[in-house]
Amino acid sequence: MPRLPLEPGEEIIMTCHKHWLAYVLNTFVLSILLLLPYIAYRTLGFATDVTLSDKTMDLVTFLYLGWFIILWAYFFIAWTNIYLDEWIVTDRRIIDIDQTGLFHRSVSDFRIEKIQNIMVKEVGFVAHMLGYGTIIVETAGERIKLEFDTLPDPGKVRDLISECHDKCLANLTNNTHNLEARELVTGD
Amino acid sequence: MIDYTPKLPTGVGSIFGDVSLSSLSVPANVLWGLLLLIVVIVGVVTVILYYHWIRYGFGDRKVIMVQILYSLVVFFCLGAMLTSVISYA
Repeated sequence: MPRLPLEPGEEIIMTCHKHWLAYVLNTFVLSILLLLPYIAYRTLGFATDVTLSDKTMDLVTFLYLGWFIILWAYFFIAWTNIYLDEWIVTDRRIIDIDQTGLFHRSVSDFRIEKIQNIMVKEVGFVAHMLGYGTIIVETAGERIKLEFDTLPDPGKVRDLISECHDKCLANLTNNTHNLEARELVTGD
Repeated sequence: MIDYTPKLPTGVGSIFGDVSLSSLSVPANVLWGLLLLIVVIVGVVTVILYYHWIRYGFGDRKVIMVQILYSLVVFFCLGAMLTSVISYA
């Protein structure tokens, strides 16, 4: 089942997803929430029981597992939203897929030959150490900007896009020359 | 004769007084109802997640691993919850 409608002969060069750091904040918050019942148990004065009966243990197990499973499901909702946020670089286009919610997805594509400017930003010590940043691509015409943050190795992606851009322009120039030559020969 | 009954400490900042977990008594029907509610919620979420994973991540190795991990943990959790309720009731 094709995920994206590609043009005939179009090839996917690279698929970019967010850096693993994007998942860390969600994981951290959910880990705290997971420990919350235990912290509450210890600090709110329930910890007077030296031993819990089997029935109480069953109740505690049930409640804690219920809490865990809800957090588990929520974690994967967040993971899915982050993971499905991607950039697909083909030999002709950049396809920007923005998944802002489970039922909110927008797909935009831009022709590579229309790119005017590519900027890479790595801000901060952590970004430099972990190798992630933001890539901003500006296209001609209406000066549309494409931005992808928390991208791993943005320099490599920039180089790849530049290479594809040069190839696209070279192909366009060749096609134009061929067309002009044919017109001269046929007289059309 | 001095009758002395030691008063046991109730923990740090015991806002609920002498309430302890041993004194909690929940009817089994409530737990069955809670279990059913959780199954329905997790079931709906699972269907939505699988829809997204299959539609937008079909064939992706990471998505396949995530599907397996998610499903296994949910399955075992629900199994453990069912066992707890049966044991409680």
